[in-house]
Amino acid sequence: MAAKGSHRGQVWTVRSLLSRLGLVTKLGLVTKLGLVINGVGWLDFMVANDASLARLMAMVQQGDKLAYVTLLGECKTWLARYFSKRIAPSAVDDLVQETLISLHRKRATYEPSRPFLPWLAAIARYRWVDQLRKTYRADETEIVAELSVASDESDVIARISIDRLLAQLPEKQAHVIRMVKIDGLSIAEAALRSGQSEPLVKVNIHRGLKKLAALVERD
Amino acid sequence: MVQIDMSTLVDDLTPVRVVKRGDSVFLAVGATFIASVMVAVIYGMRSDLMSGDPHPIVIIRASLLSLLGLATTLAVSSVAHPSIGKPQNGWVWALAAAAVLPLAAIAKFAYLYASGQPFDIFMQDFEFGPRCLLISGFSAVWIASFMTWWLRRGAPIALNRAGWLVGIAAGSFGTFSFNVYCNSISIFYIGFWYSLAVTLCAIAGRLIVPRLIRW
Repeated sequence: MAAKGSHRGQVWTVRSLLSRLGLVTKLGLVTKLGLVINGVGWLDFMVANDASLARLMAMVQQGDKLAYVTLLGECKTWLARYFSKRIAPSAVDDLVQETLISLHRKRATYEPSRPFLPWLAAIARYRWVDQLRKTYRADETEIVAELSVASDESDVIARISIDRLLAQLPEKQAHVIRMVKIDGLSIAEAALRSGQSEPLVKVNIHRGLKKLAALVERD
Repeated sequence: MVQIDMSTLVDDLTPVRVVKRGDSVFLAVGATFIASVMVAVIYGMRSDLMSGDPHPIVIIRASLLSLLGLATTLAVSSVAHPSIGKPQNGWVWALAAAAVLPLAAIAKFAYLYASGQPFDIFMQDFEFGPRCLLISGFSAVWIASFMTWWLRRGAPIALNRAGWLVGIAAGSFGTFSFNVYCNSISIFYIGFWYSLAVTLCAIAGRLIVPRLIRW
């Protein structure tokens, strides 16, 4: 995690915020947040621990905009890392932004006496699962319409680190999901390769995606 | 999706009041009290309740229903706050306790049936069952509307679970409201109609509430 301010004025603004949080020592070395202020006034965020983020969030709930700037920056970095393990790089930015908007809308649900990161992680996971559901619904419509699946379809299923989840599906479902949703084959091609009929391929994709969404929510 | 700059969020920041867990209990209990008063005013109150000396089975059913309602309402308040980890499951024990009523009815029925004894006398109030469903259902809708409104202020991440919990809580409190009027003390009546009312409310909650609280 690295957030740097290049202007001395910015540094002191952030520093005054940290001072209000009681995190600045006389030497200017901020140990609780893991911040180091060097000689030219650069800040390096080494580790933003949960207690510090929780305090920032409590200030945000009071309407403190300076604290909000700092918190959003920290959350953006944290979320990017969180989603990078779950979806393709090209989708990370959108999901991070959606989650930050959710954080903004639901900021009243954070309880200052509780840890911050589990709260943020729960919101992030909800947004991730929601995106999975949207994909599932789109897929369902597609099956009803009996359209073949385009190989360039934007598909969350194909982008998440899916191996662990697919391993929990019956082999026939996992096999056709891999072929159609990840490898981009058409229903007809998948039917030919798997030895299943086309309607069965559709049914297996339908059931498999539904089960995947449930697995992610339960996980 | 529409791109929103972070500065937009910062500019939009205003102070907020933290959504407190106790608020949901306050709302649910308040709505139940009003529903009970309305039932008593419209349909009347049991005479033993009026005299302050209720029949033991009335005390038992009211206690079980209020316990189940409170436990599930506490679980609802927990659901509204995003978190990672094991969810609050204390309400399951309250549900198990409330299951004593239908289980007692089944046991009694089995005993009478096996011993060849008539059980017509226990069935005398059965025809009033639909009224139980109707009054309990209306009360439950009233109570559930407050709980759902409160949940919409929160950020529930397990929508189906929230739906079940709202349904069970509202069903329990709604049936509690009906209980102040209900003249029956038959275990068959209570075991069947009360349980059916709570079950139907739970199913309705599962089907309806998630659509209303998605965010």
